[in-house]
Amino acid sequence: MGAVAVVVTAETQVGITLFHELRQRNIDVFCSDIRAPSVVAEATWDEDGGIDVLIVHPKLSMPAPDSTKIDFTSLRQTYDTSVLGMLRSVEAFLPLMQEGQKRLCFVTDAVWTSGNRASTNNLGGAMFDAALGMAYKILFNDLRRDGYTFRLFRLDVETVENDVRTMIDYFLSPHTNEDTLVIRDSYGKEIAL
Amino acid sequence: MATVFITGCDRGLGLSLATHFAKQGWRVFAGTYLPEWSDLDQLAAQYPSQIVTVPLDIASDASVRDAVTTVREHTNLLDMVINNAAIASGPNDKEIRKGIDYGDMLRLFEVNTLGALRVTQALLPLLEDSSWKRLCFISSEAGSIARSQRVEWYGYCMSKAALNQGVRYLHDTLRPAGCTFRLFHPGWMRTYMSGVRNERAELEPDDVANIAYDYFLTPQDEDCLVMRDWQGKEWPW
Repeated sequence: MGAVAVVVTAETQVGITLFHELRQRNIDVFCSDIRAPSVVAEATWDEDGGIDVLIVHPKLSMPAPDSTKIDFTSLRQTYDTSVLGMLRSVEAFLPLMQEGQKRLCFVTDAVWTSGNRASTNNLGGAMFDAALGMAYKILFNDLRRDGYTFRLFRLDVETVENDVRTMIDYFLSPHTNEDTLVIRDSYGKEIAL
Repeated sequence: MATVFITGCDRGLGLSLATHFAKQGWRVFAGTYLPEWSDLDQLAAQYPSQIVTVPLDIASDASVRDAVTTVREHTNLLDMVINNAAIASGPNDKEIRKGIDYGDMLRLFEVNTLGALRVTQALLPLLEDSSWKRLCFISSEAGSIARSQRVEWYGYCMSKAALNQGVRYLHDTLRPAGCTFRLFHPGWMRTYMSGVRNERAELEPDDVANIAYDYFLTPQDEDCLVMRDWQGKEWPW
């Protein structure tokens, strides 16, 4: 794989873990907060000129579930920060990827997939996972035509440390079928989106 | 007389639904957002004892609260709520490399997704004594991730995908209390979703309203939520 990667996340610990794992593989890494990706995109452009791998982790801090009263303000804010933040990150770094390996990687903790039942104990989680899933699908439909490849990995919140190496391996390796969008988990199971 | 609350009745499918339900003898509380459109007022004049127009901006907590107050001035019982109001604006129809209007995307989520949930939450107490307790949602094939082949339209598609999962949450939460649900994809209609009437579309809203009426009233799919289209076909999530 190429030599330059960017990690965009809202969660510092995950960013640090990914940073170290990528550095151990001799990959130059830039890290960005999902709330301000364009700042790092400009800096990356000045310093390195282009990137090969973009890893986005739109961690969702969901409002506490409450079936009797929906917190619309929190839902709106989280949608803006996490869901739209993922798209802002892709939009910001896309111009830097044209000459590179063109790999877009997304970290999800979604239980939800298009074929399985949603986790319905959290309204925000169910809705945001679906909105992100749709955004991944449209990005895939659009950018695959230009040679971009996609990796989605479901990171188990209970076993983040153990799963990161497996996830990075997946992000940096070829896939037998680049023309189907799938979510892979730490056991290697894949589900089409 | 059975009673229904319908959002977005100024034109398009909402107006057709209000018309059809009134013709079938229902009492209709018809949400209105566009006072410059007179069609709904004309319809209300035809059915003065059945149709009550209710000013309603589903993106506003205060407006929804006021709408509930208006309904309570007439009745404490609703049998059905139809979440029809939605928007599909132009700025979000671009591919990502041509620039995305994030303010517009947030607005689509606020109206198309949260708006339906806001109305449902506010009107839920009025459904408690109904034997129907029916919550209907107008969604779209655009919210089906499995079938999506689009390369743009992020805001609208994401708002409908989120709505579908929000309705699934409501179904799992409220079904044990007796609420029943309908999630309906009405097809490509000659409506004003983008501001002007789409003459290229396939279906007349009046025809779809007839089909929707039957689907909303016919007992089916009560314990497993599905999204069905105007032809009765089930759509994947």
